[in-house]
Amino acid sequence: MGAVDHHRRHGPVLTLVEVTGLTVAAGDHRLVGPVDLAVADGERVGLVGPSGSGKSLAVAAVLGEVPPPLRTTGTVRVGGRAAGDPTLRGRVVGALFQDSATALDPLTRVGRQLARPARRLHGLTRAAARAEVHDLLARLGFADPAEVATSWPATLSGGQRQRVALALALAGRPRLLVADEPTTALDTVSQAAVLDLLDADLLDDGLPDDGLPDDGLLDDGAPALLLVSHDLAVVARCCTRVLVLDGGRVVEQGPTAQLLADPQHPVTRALVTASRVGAP
Amino acid sequence: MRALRSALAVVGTALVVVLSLAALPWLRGEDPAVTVFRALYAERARDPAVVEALRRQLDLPDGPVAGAWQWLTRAVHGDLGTSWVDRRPVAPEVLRALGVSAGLAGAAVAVAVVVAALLLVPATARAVRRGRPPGRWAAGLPTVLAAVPEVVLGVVLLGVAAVRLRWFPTSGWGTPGQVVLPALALGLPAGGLLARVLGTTVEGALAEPWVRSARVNGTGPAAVTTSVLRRAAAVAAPQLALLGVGVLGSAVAVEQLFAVPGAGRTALRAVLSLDLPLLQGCVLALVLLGLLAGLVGGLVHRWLLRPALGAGDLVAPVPAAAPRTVVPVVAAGALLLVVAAGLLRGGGRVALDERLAPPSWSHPLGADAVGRDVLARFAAGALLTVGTGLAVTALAAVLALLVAATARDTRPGVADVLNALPGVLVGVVLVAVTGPGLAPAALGVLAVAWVPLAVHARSLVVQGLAGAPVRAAVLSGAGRVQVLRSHVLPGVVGPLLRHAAARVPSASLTLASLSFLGLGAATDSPEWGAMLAAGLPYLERAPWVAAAPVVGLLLLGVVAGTATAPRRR
Amino acid sequence: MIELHGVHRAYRPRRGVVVRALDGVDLALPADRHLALVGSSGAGKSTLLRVLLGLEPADAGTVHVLGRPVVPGSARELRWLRRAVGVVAQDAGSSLDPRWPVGRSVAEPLALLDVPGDHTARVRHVLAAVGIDPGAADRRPAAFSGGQRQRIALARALAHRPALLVADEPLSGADAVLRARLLELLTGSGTQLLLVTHDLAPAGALGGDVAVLAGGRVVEHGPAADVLGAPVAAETVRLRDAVLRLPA
Repeated sequence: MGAVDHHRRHGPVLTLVEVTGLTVAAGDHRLVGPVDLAVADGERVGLVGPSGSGKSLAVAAVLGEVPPPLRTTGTVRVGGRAAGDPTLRGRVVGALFQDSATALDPLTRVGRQLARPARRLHGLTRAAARAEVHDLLARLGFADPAEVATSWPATLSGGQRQRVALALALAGRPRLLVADEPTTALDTVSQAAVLDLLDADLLDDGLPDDGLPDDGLLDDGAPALLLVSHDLAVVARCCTRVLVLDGGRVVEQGPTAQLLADPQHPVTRALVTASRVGAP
Repeated sequence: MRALRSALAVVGTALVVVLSLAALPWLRGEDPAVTVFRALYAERARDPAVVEALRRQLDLPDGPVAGAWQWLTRAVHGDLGTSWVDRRPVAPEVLRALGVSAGLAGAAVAVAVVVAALLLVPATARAVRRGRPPGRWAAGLPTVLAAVPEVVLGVVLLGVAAVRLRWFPTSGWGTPGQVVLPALALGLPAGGLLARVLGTTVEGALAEPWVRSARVNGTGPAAVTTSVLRRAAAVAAPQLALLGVGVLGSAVAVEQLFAVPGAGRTALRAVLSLDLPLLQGCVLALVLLGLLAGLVGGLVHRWLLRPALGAGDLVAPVPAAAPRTVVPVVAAGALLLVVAAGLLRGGGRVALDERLAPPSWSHPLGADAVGRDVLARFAAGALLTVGTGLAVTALAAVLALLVAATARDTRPGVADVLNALPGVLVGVVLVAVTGPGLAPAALGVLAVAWVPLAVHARSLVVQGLAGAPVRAAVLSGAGRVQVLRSHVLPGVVGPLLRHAAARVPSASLTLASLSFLGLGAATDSPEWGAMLAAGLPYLERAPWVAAAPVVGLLLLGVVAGTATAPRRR
Repeated sequence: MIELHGVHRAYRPRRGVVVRALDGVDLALPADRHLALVGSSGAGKSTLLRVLLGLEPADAGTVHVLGRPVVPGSARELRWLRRAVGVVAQDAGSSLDPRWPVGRSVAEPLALLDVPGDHTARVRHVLAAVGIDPGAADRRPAAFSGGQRQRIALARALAHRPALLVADEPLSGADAVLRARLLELLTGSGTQLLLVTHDLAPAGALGGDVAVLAGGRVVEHGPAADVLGAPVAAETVRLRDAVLRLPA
């Protein structure tokens, strides 16, 4: 079962993420790059590679969150603005990280945390935000959204917390969802549940363009996805296009099906072979 | 099972403390009636008839057990006995004094909170917005503030704002103007310490992953800042309670300095006049206040962290010596130079024709009230103050290691109860038993100094025992002793020694405080606290007499404060 | 090799809350057959391991290893169990003491259990067997990569030639290449394996039996081919469906 693209476009396809010549270095030691990467509006792109290949740093650069001792060069533009621009946060970009145990504010109830981006970015009233949060939780597979919204994060299981973290990433109605190893810390059953949710259909919030002239991006359709994982099977499940990283560089890229059927680069081949081991 | 053991340890220690206090008059080893006689008729030979008369007059019980029991049962009903000096009931006096102390402590805490908020809130908001940990939390203003010993700040404020500028009265209590200087002397260092403790917990909270998730996904900086501050305050609540206890301890010296009739000053008066019932009452009141503060801190901590259900394992980091910071090295170096210069001069001979001589070539730091060279005395005092502090801390470290090696978990135990007792108070009580002197003062400081070291060592041991290497060793057949010896203790000794080294200055400062109060080194001793007390009457005429110990104690405080600054990443 | 009968174990984390981690576990593992113990988080796997290794008592039921009963006790009382079983913990890399050279860590069980023979030679042999250069035995763990540390931990578990090797989630956190390598090392070690995992996928590669744990009970147990090919219990089906496969 591969990933399916749903495109409901009314106009030209926009490039949401434009990365040109990105390098991240610690002093003289180059950790990433040079890397070129582009994600179109609504596209689902995966970044895969062994541990230490620089995937997480590349994604941190897209979010504008590369920690200070490291230097970034090259251009990274998201939604037409520089990466890390505060106006992008939540409204254009949403992010989901690996560690579900500490992904949520432990001293605030779930519903309140989820409502914050919606209220702040879209000016919703408290009642409207609460309704939207319930709707979002329902779409993400929670049978009783009201119950979850009033609970504290510590009372949820790992899989549930990660789904709530996904809801937080989607709360601002972003056009791009960035996921960095979202299921690595979960057991296989929770992993399957979360990956099901990253399916395009569910991400589409069904709301039409809100008419605000702010970002010039079309709001229709599901957000684009930039998924990072060391697990090729995860990336293959959710993405239509895959980039393989090794030693900080892109060694191969292309449509998923083609990459799996006919891998060219030795690293890609090793990944494909290893991923087939032990599968019943 | 563990909860039971912990409860027993806590209750047991509290009982020992209370019982010691109850039996205080007998701990001196002599009949209390004789103590009263000595207090009233110091010079006269002991007259048994008078002693008997005193015993009947004051209704003194026969033996320690009866005495302790009588005191306890009466105390529970609110009767704290009668003063041996003026025959009036103790309880009303203690209550009144406690009220004054509580008022002063309240004002000091208010000052501390305002100072900490001014230092912390803008910096946190900025750090949240930028997404980066704040650069230099521990260095800078909070550390400098926290490093100044309260009694030294008090002397400086007294000298400048009261004596020279005459903006505020020099002593007394009752008018708003009289509150300002004592509250500032207590509150400014406490505010610095508060900002530092909260600052390091805020730094830890900011590093938690949820802050990044919230920020990146569009939760506004205001909401994130509030959450971060709330989390830091929740985690640091017990530390803040300890801070309150520290304020109570330092209040003794400040009350004495500004003649504020609080429980500390009253306790001091009681010790010096051997009015033991009054001392018992004051110490009981102060200790209860301290325990209450600790209890409130613990409850607040648990209530605020209730939703996190044990995810509050972000522990406020214990201060670790910053190995390469310039400031403590420079301060310590300056101190050493001056001390060396003073030792080389030798002397300290009395020369009445040079009384209170201002600084000159022959007396670089001036001369004191009997013409002795201040610099030479300063150097001799350094050996006493710092040397004793060093000895006390070394013993404390050994004690702490022994206690920590038997630790199984970080539940409250003996150490946590003793943490609620300020060092100065313990020193006061000890001196009541043995009489003033550097040795009992040192013992008092030791009794309190080992506690923070033990708490640190205990948490290191427990952490080590929970670590993966220990679990693997157990599965390879190791027993507890082997595990402690090969995996845990090597990782404890290093940090403990660094912590202990960083605490030498504060032990010395407590000793100096006790001497300042007349409880430690003899009044004529060159020990810095005693020198400071001796120089006070001449603050206006010859400020240099007090200036030398002020600067010495200040430098000691700076070394203490900056050496325990949490390590900057 | 292992026999558990009617094992129960419950916790009371807070007042009024009872968690039945093990609710009547029956499990028998004959010698010379690998076993993969599979279950999602919360199914009771960690508790089962701790009871099996004598770290926790069972509230009810019996636990036997090599025919001897397992009861928590002192290090000396449990020495026979420690000799018989080698354990690779979850996130094994961090179980190496950061202050010790790795050679010393690998030799630790040999010293603690008084294993006869030349320890140094044995350490070199076992390091080479997992693909680590024996000459690097005097370096600290920080000098090795994460994958190498996991292999060193495996060497340490095998050093004293245990009859049974217990591996607790050895593949979690490993990328695909490392997973394949670790699996190879585990199956090629020549020791009987008890593999505890939440992922059904490596269970097939083991070529032994599979036992599925859910809600504190063993809900299915049989040869891997049968359990994976024709699962009966609902939980097994759920686990199988959750396995991520590359599109063919």
